Amino acid sequence: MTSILDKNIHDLVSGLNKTMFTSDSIGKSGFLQRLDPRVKMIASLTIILMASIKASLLYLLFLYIICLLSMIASYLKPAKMFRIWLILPFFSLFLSVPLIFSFVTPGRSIVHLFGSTSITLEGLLLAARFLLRIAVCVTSVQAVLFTSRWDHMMKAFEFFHIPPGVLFVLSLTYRYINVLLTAALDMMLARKSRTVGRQSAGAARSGVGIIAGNLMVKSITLSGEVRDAMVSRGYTGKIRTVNNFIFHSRDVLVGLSLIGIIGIGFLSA
Amino acid sequence: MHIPDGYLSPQTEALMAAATAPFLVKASRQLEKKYNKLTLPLVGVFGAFSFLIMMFNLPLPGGTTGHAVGTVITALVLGPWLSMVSVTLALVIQAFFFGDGGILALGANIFNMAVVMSIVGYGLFLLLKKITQRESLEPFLAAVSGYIAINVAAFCAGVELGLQPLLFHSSNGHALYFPYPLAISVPAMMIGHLALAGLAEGFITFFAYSWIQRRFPKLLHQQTAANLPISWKPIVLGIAVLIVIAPIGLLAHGTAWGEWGRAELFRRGLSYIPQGFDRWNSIWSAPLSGYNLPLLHNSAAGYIVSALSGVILILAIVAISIFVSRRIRKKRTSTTST
Repeated sequence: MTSILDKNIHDLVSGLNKTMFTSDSIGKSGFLQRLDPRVKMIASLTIILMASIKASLLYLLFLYIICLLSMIASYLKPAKMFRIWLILPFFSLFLSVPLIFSFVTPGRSIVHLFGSTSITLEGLLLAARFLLRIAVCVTSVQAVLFTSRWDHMMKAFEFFHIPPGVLFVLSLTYRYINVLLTAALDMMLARKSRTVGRQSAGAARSGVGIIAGNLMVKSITLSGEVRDAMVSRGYTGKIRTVNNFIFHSRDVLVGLSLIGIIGIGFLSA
Repeated sequence: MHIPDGYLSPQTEALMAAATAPFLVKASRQLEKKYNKLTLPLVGVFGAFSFLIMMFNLPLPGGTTGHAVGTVITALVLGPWLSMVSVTLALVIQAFFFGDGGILALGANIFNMAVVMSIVGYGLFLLLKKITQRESLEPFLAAVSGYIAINVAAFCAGVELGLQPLLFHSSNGHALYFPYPLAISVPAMMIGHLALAGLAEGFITFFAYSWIQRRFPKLLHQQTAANLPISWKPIVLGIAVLIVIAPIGLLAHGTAWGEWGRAELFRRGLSYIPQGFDRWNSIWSAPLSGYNLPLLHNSAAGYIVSALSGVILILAIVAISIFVSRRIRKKRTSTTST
């Protein structure tokens, strides 16, 4: 069964693409790309928080339109936006379908289907709120991800007073995902090149399990080497970082708009 | 099992973050004690490993494939604390840089996949190892621990989701967040994990463990031989927390499925009560029936007292069994030596 190796190779390559190559939309000079990463992160968190707190359908729609408009103003390709909307909340869409029927949400019937089953207004509103909330949360995070460099985002975390040790480990993790991804890909490709004919499911399982075990041993060796290399270069356990972000007037404007968004949220209640 | 944002209420998310924090603080202190302050590079690389292991596809019976979380094999080789921190790092990177799993829901996701899986997987493995005491069985025990740990984590996720419509609904009774109650959310989570994800976790733990055991046995002995000393403080604290939150059961309406009494069966439309049922049903009347003590005039207090009595009773039974088994063993050794 070489297909499982192919599936793993495919997933690892796409993972490698995601971590190594930044999105093409980052290089564009759009609205979100020009914003300070700290402001973008605060804006995204504020939108998620407001979407979680407020239950008003109109307000959720307002937040969703803001997210979409800022993505359009950042020159994100419509296909990419559609993919975000379609794939990520797909599970939520699947979950929300039964909500519209009278046997799950009783209420005023809009469309009568069969027997005592109908589509209810309450069910539709419930499903719409559930879906809109997920859509707002997903798009606000994805808008930041598609328009920010990971190292800038990592630096933006400092603004939230996250201890430098934690940030250092996070950036180390991100970097070594690349290294271990390449190692895992090499192992999968080596196994695929040695595999002739059909392989039983048991042998395929054992193969993937052995690669996972081998990867763990490699990580243990690598972590020791990384630590020794850092110590030999003068690392004592103390973390120093450089922060070169500058606030611009557009960042202040977005900050003020956020206050407006929060205000509208509480006034709409 | 990655819960996205919008599924849980902010209150639940805050509570889950608060429940996770002490474990992570304890884990980082343990790591500092074990590896000193040069521990950071180690943790970073293992975070990357945990991220990667979640990407592996495994073929499952029936022609499907499944992803494992990989927490249990990490806990068995690196220890539960290092596993907790490395899986947490992987989850943070997934949420912030790949949009997988919610940002506000991170506390719940870390609790389920990093804390619960590490503790249950590692603890269960040590317990099974102690009972069987056979090295050749260890990969199988690791697989069982992996299978059970991921299912316990899925159960936790199911409960967190299923509590939402019970606790957070609008004035007309409609759910504000995840809309399905416990009766749907728990089975829905469990079926997928019992049938697919659990097998994936079991397989990856089995094969990775047996390979490391064959090729690098020293790595396993470093961790599992130098077992962390059992500290009673967190166990007692955990049981105390569980006793205090016992009245949460009052939130659920009706009786658990299949646990109906005489009156409930009639209410459900059964026209007669089988003779055998009636005879055996009345043979024993429990002293704390329905976890309620009428003397207290408070059902929540009744639940707490019932939970406390239950724990004391179980501890007493365990203590008596240990005492009896020790006496029997002592007797046997004295007869064989003579």
